Amino acid sequence: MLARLQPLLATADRGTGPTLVVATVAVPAIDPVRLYAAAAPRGTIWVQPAEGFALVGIGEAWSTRSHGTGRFAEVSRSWRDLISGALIDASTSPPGAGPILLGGFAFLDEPAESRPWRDFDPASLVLPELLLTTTRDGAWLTLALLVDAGSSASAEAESLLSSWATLAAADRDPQPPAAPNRLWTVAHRPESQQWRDSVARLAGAVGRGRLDKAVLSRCIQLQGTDAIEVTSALRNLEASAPESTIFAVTRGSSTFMGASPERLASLRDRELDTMAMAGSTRRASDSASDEELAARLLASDKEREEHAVVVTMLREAVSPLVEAMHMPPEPSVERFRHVQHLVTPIHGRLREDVDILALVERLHPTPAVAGTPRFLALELIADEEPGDRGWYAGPLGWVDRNGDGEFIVALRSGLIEGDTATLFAGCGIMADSDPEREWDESSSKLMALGSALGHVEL
Amino acid sequence: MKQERSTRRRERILDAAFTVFSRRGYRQAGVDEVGRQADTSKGGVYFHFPTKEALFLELLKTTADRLVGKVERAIATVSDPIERADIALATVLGVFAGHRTMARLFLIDAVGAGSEFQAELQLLHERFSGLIAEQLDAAVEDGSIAPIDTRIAAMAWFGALNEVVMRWLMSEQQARLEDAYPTLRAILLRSVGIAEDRIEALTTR
Repeated sequence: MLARLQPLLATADRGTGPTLVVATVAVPAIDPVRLYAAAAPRGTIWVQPAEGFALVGIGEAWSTRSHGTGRFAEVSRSWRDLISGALIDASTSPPGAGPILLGGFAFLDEPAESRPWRDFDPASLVLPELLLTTTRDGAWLTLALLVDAGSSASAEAESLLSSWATLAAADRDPQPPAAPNRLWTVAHRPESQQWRDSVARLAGAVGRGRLDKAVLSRCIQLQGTDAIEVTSALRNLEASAPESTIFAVTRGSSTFMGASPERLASLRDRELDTMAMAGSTRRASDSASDEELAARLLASDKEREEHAVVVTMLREAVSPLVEAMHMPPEPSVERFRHVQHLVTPIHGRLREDVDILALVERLHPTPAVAGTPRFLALELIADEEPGDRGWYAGPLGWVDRNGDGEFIVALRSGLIEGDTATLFAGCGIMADSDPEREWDESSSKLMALGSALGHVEL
Repeated sequence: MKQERSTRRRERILDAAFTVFSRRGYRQAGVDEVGRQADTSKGGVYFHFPTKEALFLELLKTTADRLVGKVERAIATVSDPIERADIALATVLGVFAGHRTMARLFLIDAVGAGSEFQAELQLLHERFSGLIAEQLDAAVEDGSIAPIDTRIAAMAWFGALNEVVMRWLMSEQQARLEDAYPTLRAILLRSVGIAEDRIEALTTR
């Protein structure tokens, strides 16, 4: 690695301003969660167990923060400016290695007023000093350094590599506590009655045709007997939700983490990959019944219409940014753990002058997290939800030097700070939504993460 | 800004009213419950709507407007009059199928609620059959169907649709209203002389 870096550092040293220097080398395989644990609390982790893909970012070579309606464009611009002047040796690296900007965006454009989210800007992404990229084909280390002309960059690089050696040598997870952390709920925000009333009102709004769907969320505050172990939680999520994207991002003294099943968009070699997913039915206990349920789902006018609305919105969001777009004329049925969904995959070739951030800007928020029509749904959410979603249900992911990358929607997530956690969950409210059932459904979703943190007493 | 807030409050009251009327039925519903559901006071409701009747009427009007708007937008997506008539039918059926509660509230509850509601419902019937009649006129114009009294034909179409919806609303079983559509479409289209192969073509999505 040092050999790769030296010529770049020498060039940077002769330059006029701060230059980004990046080099990537293959390394022996390392367990991502283990590395994250060794580096904690300084890291960011992104794991997709089902794909065998993971990113662990340590330290901060450069970062960008923004807020307001132009936050996506601003981040994109800053990143491109940085990369345009960068000296990069990443010739052997796969997608996901090389200089990668890793982080997330809040649900809303404007800064959070609430305490829990004070360290999380509406846009906050980091270029790590050390990045582990794990794919099915192997592992890579990317080192990034912002070098001032005439500075002691060489020493800094050596120091980082030495840190890496120590971290990579960790041969076990940190010692788990003797007994699982016991957690109990200290607050519901809002309280049950208020939330149920909100559900009833929104169901009324949908019922009388004012809007098609609104997503209402709530949060709970958990208190643990001990500090909450993010690493243990990540291990638990790897086991319980391997098909999700498991993530943890630390800002200040809090860590935002979760395991989200919801992908927003993926871009590789300018090829866009996204999916309209709407219209669902349950899973059955046997394959034949599953098939029958799937057939009924495909034949249901109502489900097809709900699906068509999302396909149209996605198509409209995406088409200004693509040169060519393909999608099958009919949806197919995809099976998940507890549900079957109608899905229409959408592929396209992105225009040269746009990147994944431009795509994320157009897609967010999706009907799955806000509702339809978007503007009215957001207005009603602002009216009904007392708390701040912060980064919950916001876009979270990574972008590389070519503008490729992947973003998910941060669902099934929560904010961990010491021995407390604030967990979020939401439900799509339609005309027939029953407040009691929605409360129960949101409770199950909260428990998806809650049970990974420890033993929760309700 | 203040006006906007007032409008939002008004809309929230209507949302809450819909929920309460659905839950209790029109007669049993009380304005104080609407107030509670809307997170305001009885007085807060009366500020926007002088009586329970006014509240229900407004609900009926705005919902009817939306339904007609939805049908008009759906119709606008195609140009052939027979396809347009078919889409109008499918859209109305689809809306009721997806909003059983609303259908019940307005087609059953409202009927017994008083003469202003009757008048409003009658207006909705006329608007809808007017839309159908328009398409049938265009179909006669372009020779797709033989000349016919399109006003009566549209009324009959609407009558058939209304009967199917009402039966569905009254039934105990949770039958899917959409399942009635293929039969309904076939007989209505045949009734004005549309050929079988044309009907067949419309059936494929």
